Amino acid sequence: MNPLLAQFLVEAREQIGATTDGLLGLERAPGNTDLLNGVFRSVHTLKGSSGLFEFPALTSVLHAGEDLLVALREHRLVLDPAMLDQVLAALDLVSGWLDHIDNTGLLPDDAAGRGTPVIAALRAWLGGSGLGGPVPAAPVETAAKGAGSALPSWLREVPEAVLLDTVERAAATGTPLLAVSYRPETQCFFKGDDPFALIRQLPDGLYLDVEEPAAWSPLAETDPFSCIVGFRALSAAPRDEVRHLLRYVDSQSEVVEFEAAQLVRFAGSPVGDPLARELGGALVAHHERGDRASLAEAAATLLDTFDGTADAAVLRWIARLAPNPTVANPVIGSLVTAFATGTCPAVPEPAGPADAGGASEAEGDLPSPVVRLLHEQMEMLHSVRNDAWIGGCIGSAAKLAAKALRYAGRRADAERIADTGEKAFAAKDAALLVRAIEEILGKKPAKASDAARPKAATPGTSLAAVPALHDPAHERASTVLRVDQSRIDALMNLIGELVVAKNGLPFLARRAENVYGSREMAREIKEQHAVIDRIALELRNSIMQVRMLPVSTVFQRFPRLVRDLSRKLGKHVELVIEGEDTQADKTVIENLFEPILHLVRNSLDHGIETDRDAMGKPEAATLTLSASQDNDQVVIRVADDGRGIDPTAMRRKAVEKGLLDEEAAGRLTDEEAVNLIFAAGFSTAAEVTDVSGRGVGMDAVRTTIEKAGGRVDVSSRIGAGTTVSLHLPLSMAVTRVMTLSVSGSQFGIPMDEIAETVRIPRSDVVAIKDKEAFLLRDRIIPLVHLDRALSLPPKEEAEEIAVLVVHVDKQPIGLAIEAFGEGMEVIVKPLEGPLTDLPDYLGTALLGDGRVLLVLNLKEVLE
Amino acid sequence: MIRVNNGVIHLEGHCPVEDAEPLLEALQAGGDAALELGGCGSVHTAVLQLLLASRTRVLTPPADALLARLLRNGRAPDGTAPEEVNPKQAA
Repeated sequence: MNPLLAQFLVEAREQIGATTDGLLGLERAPGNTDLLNGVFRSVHTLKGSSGLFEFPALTSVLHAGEDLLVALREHRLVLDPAMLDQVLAALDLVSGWLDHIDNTGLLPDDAAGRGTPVIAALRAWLGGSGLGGPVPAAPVETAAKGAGSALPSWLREVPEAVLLDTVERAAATGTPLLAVSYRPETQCFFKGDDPFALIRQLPDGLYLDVEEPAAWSPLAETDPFSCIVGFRALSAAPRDEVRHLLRYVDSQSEVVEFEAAQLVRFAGSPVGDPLARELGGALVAHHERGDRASLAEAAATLLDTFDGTADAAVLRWIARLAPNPTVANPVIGSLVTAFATGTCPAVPEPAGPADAGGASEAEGDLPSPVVRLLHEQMEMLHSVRNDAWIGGCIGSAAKLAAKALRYAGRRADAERIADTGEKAFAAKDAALLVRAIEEILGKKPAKASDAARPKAATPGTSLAAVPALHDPAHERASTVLRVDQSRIDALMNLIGELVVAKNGLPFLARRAENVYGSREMAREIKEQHAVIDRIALELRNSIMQVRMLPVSTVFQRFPRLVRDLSRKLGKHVELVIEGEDTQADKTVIENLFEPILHLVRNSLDHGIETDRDAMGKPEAATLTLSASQDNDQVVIRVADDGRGIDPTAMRRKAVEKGLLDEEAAGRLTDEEAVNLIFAAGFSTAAEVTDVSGRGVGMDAVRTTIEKAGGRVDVSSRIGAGTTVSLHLPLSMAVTRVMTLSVSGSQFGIPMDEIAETVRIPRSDVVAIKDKEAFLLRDRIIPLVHLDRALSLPPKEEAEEIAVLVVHVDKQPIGLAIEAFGEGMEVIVKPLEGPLTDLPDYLGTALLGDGRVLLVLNLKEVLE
Repeated sequence: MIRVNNGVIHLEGHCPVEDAEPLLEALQAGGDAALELGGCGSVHTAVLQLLLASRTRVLTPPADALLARLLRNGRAPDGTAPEEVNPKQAA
């Protein structure tokens, strides 16, 4: 691979990691500008460097993300968790693409297709603010302005009273309306969707009804878990808000924007009764005079005559809407004409900004092109620093702004701008004019100028800021080496061989003395051995240091996971991470993720209660992930303050599952009962959820950890929470073993399983039925003959037995062996090939004299 | 949650999707079952569509105005325009 690309991939992953951390931090502290700037810088750098290569889809996704962050930085947008979801999703997508590039050097074929919706989602937040490129309109959302045909047909079925309310409400605010139809997928319940609950959250809802299937199937044939209904709703909220609510069901919903005036089409269809035509003339006359009160009265009177006929609906609309001054004249006109001519009401032409009604001029918003124009003037004024130009700029800005306001029908404001413009021109003070424009826009001065200033200043500052930002990175780059992991692994293997070769020297010394009879030679070899031993030890420790990774490399994946899971489960969880600087060997760290993930899921799903209020606990649960070093072990704790594990329930469950009989279960201490969660096939969760409880129980966690040479503890208090601790060796590369011989063969046993070595006279062994035991410091310890356990030929029995006391599952057991060997450090290699399935052995180690030592897996041997 | 007592199906509090199956069984079981929705707070779509489909007699309508209206709509026997409730006010 091109070295530049390789470098980009490494850096890109780092930037994505930093961005994810930053975003999660921002979610907790939305006001933190440092975090926001950090996130922005990461995305900006990433986008910039991606431009060096031909990855257009990747660059445009990052570009969209960057634009969104710019908007946040300039306070044009407010941070929203859903916005973060989308930025994170975009990062996930980019991350996936990076993997693909890493493998193939190319973007996946579907990159452009997958990128487009992500970009659209990001851009949707920017909405019509005019920045960040075009907003691709979703195909289903047809802007139906003026085109009556685009209105959904179900509006006909909406009750008249609702339509009238809607028309009046929309007339008062002057905003367009949205017709939302949502037809959920039949399988949506399985995704955890609740369409009814979702649609109820529709902002500014004016109407909501169920779209029933054409025919209900008989109950006997009904599948309760397939969704057969849809929903229809009317909303007066901005389209962005509605789109935001329906963002996950975008393909199942249709949002049509329309003007309230278009609803007159549903004001019945007069049949053209001759009497109506005659009487309609009076209505037309009232309307032409602009006498709304008389019009309404006349319509109400006519209703008495026409009640129950096809013409009644139009009259009801006129009677209701005419007295309302906010309802535009063309709407009333259309209704009156419909009644008088006996035709279906025609949709009036949308009113232009110039002839807007009196009410809308006083309080209505400025049309968006005018607002944009005014913003542009302010930005222009901010950006001018040259005194020679300022006069001309003020003049032209004032002229443009005044024209725009006049166009919008704000004559008084236009005059004011023109006046202020002259004053500002005279004083050469752009701020005067800016303030006047801000007041007209109705914005708080600080906010508006913030929005304008950083943008205007970008060309100047970015040049200065970029090298400053990069300096520390360059310094770091000179002292930190990026080394391919396989090179470290190769070094580690070489050192392993060196240790083995070094262990050969004492044998050589013995040979020099015994075979060649040179005691002096033997002594010199031993001296050299000591020196090489020391160097090898230091070398090994140095390499171990290189392989050491902070626990944070595992922990850092959890903030995001916990956030996503807790959102999914609807629980409020605060994740606390402690001791993430604790270091351990890479292999240990790599083995940690799965078990911790399992524990975290368990805690979130089963540990943390949904009704914390009722328990008198703070609503936000705390999940603590901590790491610490304990001698040559690293201890990882996953603790929650949830409901804890009930030992009584554990005992009951164990009996139900047939793991224990009732009596044995009763004898367990509470602590032992809690530890039952590690038993294979044990799961107390009543039901399988999406998050955890799929039957792969805690025993999987224990197996993984034990395979890595560690152990798992759990402690729990009902109502107060559960803590699971994982104890793992700091390094897995070198294991301290003790050698021993049984029936003439040599075996190794991991040193940390050995409690002590004793020699007991044969007479002290007592037989209990077919088992043997012996007394050690007033304690009865079962005795196992290792030769029998390993099916080796028995040796003749000596008067004194060498016994190795080991701890297996915290139980002391005596192992009768032939002779103790020595303690040594070896590199245990797992059995490979056809031998993999031999459970009795952890693996093999090469000894200094070239022999192979089998290292026993005592737990399996003793079972 | 769902509870059946003397042929009357009581829906109480929030009725999640898990209640749909027992509700369907209860609706199928009794020929003259009746629904008591007075204590019903909110229902999952799966429960809602069963209530709409079954046309079972409702003893007390739910307190939630929107839900009550949707259930009444499905039942209006003479096809008259049912009374409208603004979902916002209802909430």
